[in-house]
Amino acid sequence: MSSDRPVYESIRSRRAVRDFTDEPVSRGALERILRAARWAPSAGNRRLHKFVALEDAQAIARIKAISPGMFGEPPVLIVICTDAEQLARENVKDHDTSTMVDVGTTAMCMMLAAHELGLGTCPTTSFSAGGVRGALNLPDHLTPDFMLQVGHAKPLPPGGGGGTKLTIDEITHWGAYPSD
Amino acid sequence: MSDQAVISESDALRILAYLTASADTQLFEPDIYGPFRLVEAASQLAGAVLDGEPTENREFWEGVRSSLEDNKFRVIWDRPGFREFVRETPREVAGELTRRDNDRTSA
Ligand SMILES: Cc1cc2nc3c(=O)[nH]c(=O)nc-3n(C[C@H](O)[C@H](O)[C@H](O)COP(=O)(O)O)c2cc1C
Repeated sequence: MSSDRPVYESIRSRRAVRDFTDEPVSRGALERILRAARWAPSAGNRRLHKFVALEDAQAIARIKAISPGMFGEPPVLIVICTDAEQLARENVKDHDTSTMVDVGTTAMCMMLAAHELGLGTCPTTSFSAGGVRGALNLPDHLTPDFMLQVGHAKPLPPGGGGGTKLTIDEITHWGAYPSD
Repeated sequence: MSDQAVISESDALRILAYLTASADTQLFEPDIYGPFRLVEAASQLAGAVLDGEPTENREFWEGVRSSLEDNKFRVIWDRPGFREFVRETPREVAGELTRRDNDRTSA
């Protein structure tokens, strides 16, 4: 198979980054990452998200204080919020799990866009949503569902990052499961 | 036993934020993250004490801090080792309590 697969190579080489240098992220790069979010597939094209982009070190430190899963000190943090007003307008039901899938597709588009720009990212959900609300003064209709740490990665320690990946045989069942 | 006040109020607030946020995230995160967050908070506490430049017992705080830092991420790659570490650490801290009680009564 041809090795000319830049998208596949990007997927393969992206790793969660938890240690960032002090180098800032340009506004242009940040906007490009946010633009990538706009192109993410979204169930029913409902566009449920609002984004909060933080570049201020003090504001990011405040979020870190209430985010046990945030280990780095990234120069940029993007919070993906689901907008309850938009959920209501779109008549989305409470147990519609596609809302969280939308968060995931959006996050992945942003991670790959950042990766293409040579930036590291860390997807983050280990945070106190109430704490994030308080730290960002979020209006009640916005629920913070996901945070993306963005910055220039410090080199990983040898062998570090990503752990082992499962083989396709471990994760794939070819065809339907047999009936008993 | 030293009664020197060493933690700044802002460090105390940071640790309070971390602990209350962890209590919240533990409502939905895997159980094993509970001990991990407490180990992290204990390490932050030891770090804050060291930042306050304690005049006594510095060695104890340095030891406990580096042990917590060196072992906390075993939760990811060596879970049995992490559990063992979590079980052993209170023994060392209790040893320090005992040592100080003994020093006081013999003084
Ligand atoms: C939904 C989601 C939430 C995550 N939350 C965190 C987090 O709070 N903190 C963190 O350090 N990593 C977090 N990660 C990163 C994963 O730990 C990481 O993707 C995984 O270990 C695989 O490593 P890799 O991305 O380098 O392949 C999260 C990943 C996803 C997809």
